[in-house]
Amino acid sequence: MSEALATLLNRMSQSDYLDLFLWPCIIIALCIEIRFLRETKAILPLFLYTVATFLFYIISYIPVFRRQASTDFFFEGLNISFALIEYSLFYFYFKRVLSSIFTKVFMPYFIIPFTLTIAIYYYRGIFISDADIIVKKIPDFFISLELLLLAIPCFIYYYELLKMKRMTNLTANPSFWIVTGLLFYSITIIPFFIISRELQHSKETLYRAAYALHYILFGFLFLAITRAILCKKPLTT
Amino acid sequence: MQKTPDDIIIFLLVTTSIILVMAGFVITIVLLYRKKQISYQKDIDHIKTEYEKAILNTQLEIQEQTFRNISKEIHDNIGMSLTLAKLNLNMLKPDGNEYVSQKIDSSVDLISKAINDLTDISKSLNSDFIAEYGLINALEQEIGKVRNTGFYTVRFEIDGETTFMNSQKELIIFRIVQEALNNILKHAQADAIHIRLSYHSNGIYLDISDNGKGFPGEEGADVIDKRKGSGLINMKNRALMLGGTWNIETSANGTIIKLTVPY
Repeated sequence: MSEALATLLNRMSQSDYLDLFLWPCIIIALCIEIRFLRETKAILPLFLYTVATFLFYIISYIPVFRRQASTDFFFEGLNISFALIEYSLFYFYFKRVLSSIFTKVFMPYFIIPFTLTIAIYYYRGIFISDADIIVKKIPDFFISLELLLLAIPCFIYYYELLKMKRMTNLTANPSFWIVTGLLFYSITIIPFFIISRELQHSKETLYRAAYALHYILFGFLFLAITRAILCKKPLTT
Repeated sequence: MQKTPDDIIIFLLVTTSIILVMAGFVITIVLLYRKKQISYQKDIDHIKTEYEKAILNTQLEIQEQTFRNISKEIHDNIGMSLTLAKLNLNMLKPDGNEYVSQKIDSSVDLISKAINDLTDISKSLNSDFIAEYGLINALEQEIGKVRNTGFYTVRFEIDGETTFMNSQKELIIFRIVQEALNNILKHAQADAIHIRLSYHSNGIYLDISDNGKGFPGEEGADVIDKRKGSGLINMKNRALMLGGTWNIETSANGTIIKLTVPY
């Protein structure tokens, strides 16, 4: 029991105990989504995203998936798999909300190379045993690109919002909250993912600070999703 | 691992800068959207006002056409019939029968009065009268009718240099005064009416006041809000259609209607 608690505390210390902030955000979002899922089917991608995040963080408490030098391969594998799920679900969300060609035509094509990359990652890590090399090369680039690709439709959303002739109350517009939350999260966290590998091994304090920031922004994304669902309006521009 | 405070500061600075830039970006979007929203709302209000004006204009045209038809009918049909009846009565020879002669004279008088009253009504309904004689003459005519009832003291004052407006505007002002007088006669229980028409450099100011009972329980200037659908709304809408203002103030000592219309 005391060992489990020590493991949990050790896991939480990696993010300066900001799990205590992130968890309530995810659980609140999940509860609200379950409450409104029957009434608004359109929130299904968001619900699945929250469920995926919930499961991802539950799994990340299992020691083998913890970020340590010896288990980086599984941890990063989980990370990029989650990134693909995140990208796919937000693609379905943006497909409904935006009318731009980027969303409808280009976004789905990135799912294929992402899936192939994950397949190559696992294949090489398991069968060719060059995990050390691919762990250094693939995940950070993968996640940074994924977040960058998610930031583009956010900017398109603002463009379409300003171009639109019909005007609504912005604070009662669910998409405004979701897109703003996602944009803040993705843009702010990209630098962290680009340099995280270097930080992790050379400047741990900085790495932990950045990781904590990642948790805060991620938590805010779920608060934004919760606020959006509470607008009780259709998910449109 | 040695702590590196400088690196942390640099990282925090970079991250804070990104967050601030993003916050600035979102705030800019919100402000631009708000600006566009205000402009959009103005456009909507403008379209709405124009639409209401068009509706009101059409209503007034239909009303004027109806008045014109009634006026024509009175003049051409009823007036003609009464004139013929009067002529027939005048041609009757009672052969010294005093009673019959008296009855004929009395009937002729009644018919003459009916013809005169109908002519007045016909004139007040006919908008051509305004175009031909102008607002002041039309108002004097209307006020004359009220005076003729013998129940009211009507004071009509004109200030400033008379400026002629287009007949459509004058007609609408005339209809407002007609409606106001009609309300006084029907509801006010007044015995004195004061109409003041002032010509200013920027438009006309028209005050219509009476010493009646006002609108009991509805003192103040917000009586219009409590009486939706009444003739008051019609008067106000007509004034707004002319680009003017219309206000009503009521108390236990009477009511005053203030109208301003730009040239």
